[in-house]
Amino acid sequence: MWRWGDRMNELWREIKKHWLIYRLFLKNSLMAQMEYRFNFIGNLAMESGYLLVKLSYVVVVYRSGVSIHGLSPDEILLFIGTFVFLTAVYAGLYMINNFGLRGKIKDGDLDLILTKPVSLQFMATLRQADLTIFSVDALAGAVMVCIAWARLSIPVNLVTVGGYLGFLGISSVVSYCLFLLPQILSFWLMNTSAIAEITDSFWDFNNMPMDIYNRWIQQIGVFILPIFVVTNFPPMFVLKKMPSVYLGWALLLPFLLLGLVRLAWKRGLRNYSSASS
Amino acid sequence: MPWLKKYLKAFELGFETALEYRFNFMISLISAAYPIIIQSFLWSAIYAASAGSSVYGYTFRQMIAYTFMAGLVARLVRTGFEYEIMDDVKNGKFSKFLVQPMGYFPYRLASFLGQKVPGQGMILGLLGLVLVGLNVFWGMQIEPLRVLAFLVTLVLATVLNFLLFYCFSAISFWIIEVGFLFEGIRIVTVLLSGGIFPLEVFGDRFARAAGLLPFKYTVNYPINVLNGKLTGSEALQGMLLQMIWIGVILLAANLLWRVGGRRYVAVGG
Amino acid sequence: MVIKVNRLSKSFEYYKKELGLRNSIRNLFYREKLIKEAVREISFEIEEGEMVGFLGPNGAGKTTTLKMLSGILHPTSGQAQVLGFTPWERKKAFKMQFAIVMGQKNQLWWDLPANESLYLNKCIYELDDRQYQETLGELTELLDVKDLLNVQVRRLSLGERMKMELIAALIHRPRLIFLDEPTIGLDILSQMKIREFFRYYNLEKKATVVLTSHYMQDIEGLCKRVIIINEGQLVYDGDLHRVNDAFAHTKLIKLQLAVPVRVDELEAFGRVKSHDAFTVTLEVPRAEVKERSKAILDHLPVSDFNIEDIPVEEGIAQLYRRREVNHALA
Repeated sequence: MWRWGDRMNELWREIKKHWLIYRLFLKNSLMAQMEYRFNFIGNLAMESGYLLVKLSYVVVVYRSGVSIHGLSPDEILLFIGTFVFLTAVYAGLYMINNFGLRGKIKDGDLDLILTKPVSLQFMATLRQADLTIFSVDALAGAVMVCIAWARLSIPVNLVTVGGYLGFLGISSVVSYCLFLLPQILSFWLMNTSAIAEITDSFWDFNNMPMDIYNRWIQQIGVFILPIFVVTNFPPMFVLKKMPSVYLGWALLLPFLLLGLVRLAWKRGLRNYSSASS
Repeated sequence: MPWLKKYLKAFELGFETALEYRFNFMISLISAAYPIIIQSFLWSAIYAASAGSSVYGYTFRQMIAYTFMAGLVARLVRTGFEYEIMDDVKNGKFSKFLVQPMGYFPYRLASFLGQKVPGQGMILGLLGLVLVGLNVFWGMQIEPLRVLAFLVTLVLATVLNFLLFYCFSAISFWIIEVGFLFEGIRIVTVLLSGGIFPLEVFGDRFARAAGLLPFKYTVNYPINVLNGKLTGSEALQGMLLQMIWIGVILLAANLLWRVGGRRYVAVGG
Repeated sequence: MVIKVNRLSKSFEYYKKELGLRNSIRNLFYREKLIKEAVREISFEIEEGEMVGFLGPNGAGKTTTLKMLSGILHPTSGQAQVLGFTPWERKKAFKMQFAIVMGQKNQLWWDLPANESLYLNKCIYELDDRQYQETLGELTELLDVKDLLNVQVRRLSLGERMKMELIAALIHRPRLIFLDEPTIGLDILSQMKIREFFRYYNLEKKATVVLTSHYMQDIEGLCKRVIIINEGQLVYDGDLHRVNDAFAHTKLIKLQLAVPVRVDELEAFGRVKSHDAFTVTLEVPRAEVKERSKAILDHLPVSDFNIEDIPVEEGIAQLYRRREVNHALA
């Protein structure tokens, strides 16, 4: 029995260590970004532009004034706010790393990280962050969610807030896995820039609540290509519109996907040939 | 005309580049399809829930037709040379044009048109398919004269958008590392040009204000020529406005580039 | 025993690629697989505290071998024990004890001062503050870069950057260090400084060092023992200065002449390697050095006379060439 305790201790120590390193990654990314003032402004402009487009959907919904498949405009605002907030996580924390992975594999840039006593996948997929993008979207998303939350008079208590945040956590894990998986193909294929572009624009399917699609597309988007899980589940939970099947699925999916990513990653790594010089 | 030859060469080079990246282009068409799909579903839901048959002055069919065409036209007039210009200025390649008997502006225009031709052919083909589809399934009638007028406005729209982004590119003279600034500008112009939703959707006041800007004439206006929302005289009037805007932006571009070029020489490239 | 390698091999698969769209499409379904044997059945052992040089022409398999020993690559066959571990299992305890420096790869954050990256490594290697400060102080002192820690890496010169890379690699006091072309592209002064540093480090810390380099001076200055690899195979393992004993069958006789002598007259005494009016270098078979010397002294107007070994560099170059010849014949 003490052995198991030891292993748990060891695991806990590793998690603490990785969290410490992650905070350093964030700090370093921010510092590196501030070195280039105008790049910073450029990124700010880009993300604000994208944000404006997402807001235009909100305008369309509110001005039409109708409830869409039983969702009122305020409820839809909650969905879109959640989408914007999670875009902060995806575009701010994952995307640069995902897009960079192909180059790292091709140029043999995993070599040095491979010799470090930390998880390679962690180092290769979370090392960089764009905190400009993150801040813009996180702020805008949070504001939208708060407005919708207030207008819908959703009670603020441990269950609603805790549940919502819990589902945000699940969504962050699911989107990490979902958008990393296609990039792992780079271990086998040389030219995956096309895959990168297609999967990236796939993200926008979360722009509207999945209720606008027909049943078939909904089922596929939840169970087969679980893109809808990302931004639909947190608001569905708060709005009490979540079937219990989805609840179970939401709890299972992160583990399933993480397992799949680990498996694919390890398989891919065996294929890593460094850039043989 | 030997002076024309070098620009023909630039056109040819642009054309070849586009062919080389045809795979990327097709991929970008796939990602352009996503928003069209999402918006179509959104509109179906909105029209299903609303009482009247017309929303914002568009019938359901008109709206779907607009959505498809907007996606394609926005793609059709889209530029992409801003980053090349930025590179030219940053790496000093621009200096070459200051001493050579070759204007930078006509060089860029020729190269841009060359790059556009293969993609435009494909998008026009897709547009044709959409029109035929609308005609066969929904019985939407499109007069040949409108198609002809549409094609003319499309050429003007492409030139206008080129000029607009030629102006924006001048930012490179003042800021060296612009990062994704152009992407931000692009996405806002797409929104203002009606490339995502019809401008009327955002209210009359917004539509009128947006009408005072040139962007509308790159996407929204050509589509309205085609789908019959504009009368014949309105269409002609719009064409005139397109040309006026082209003139105005040309002057602005000239001015901006002269000032920028002077700065470039002063700073030393 | 720090390193024990037994019949280690690595082959890479690659595909023949032809140009054109049609071939690209065909390649989707069928690709002709080709195999390149980068390393073939290499075996050797390295003791604690040794400093060993890896030599070989470009593409000989030096870097591939180092990458296998540091766990970056899986071998195709064979075994290796490094610090008691199988490197490609990449156990954490193994990673904590060694370091690899590659002259062409960097681990420092480009836009940040080096000390940020060093601090990151402190956390990665779980060093406590005292340990970290001590090692950092010592290494910056030795490499003379104390005041550069706060400068962005991209503003450093190549030599300064390499020194920072070294500090980043050594901050956890590894027992074993792999150096792959650590002085590539550096000016002579920086090269010397880095060589000096490793000589001291090896003596002082008893760390085992395995080094590959293009610069013969690196190897000559640092390593007593060399392992020479050519076309993936081990061709020599032993004392650097005995390379010639094993392979070179000639010696050089250098002459100063009192009066010029015609070349065809000189050729009677040995192969003329170089000559001008008064200085001549002759190459003679090792076994005949004595007789030839006597003949030269008897018949030529010699004012000065010297018998020398062929320079190590040249001996090694001959070694490479010989393998190529064998290969061509086979």
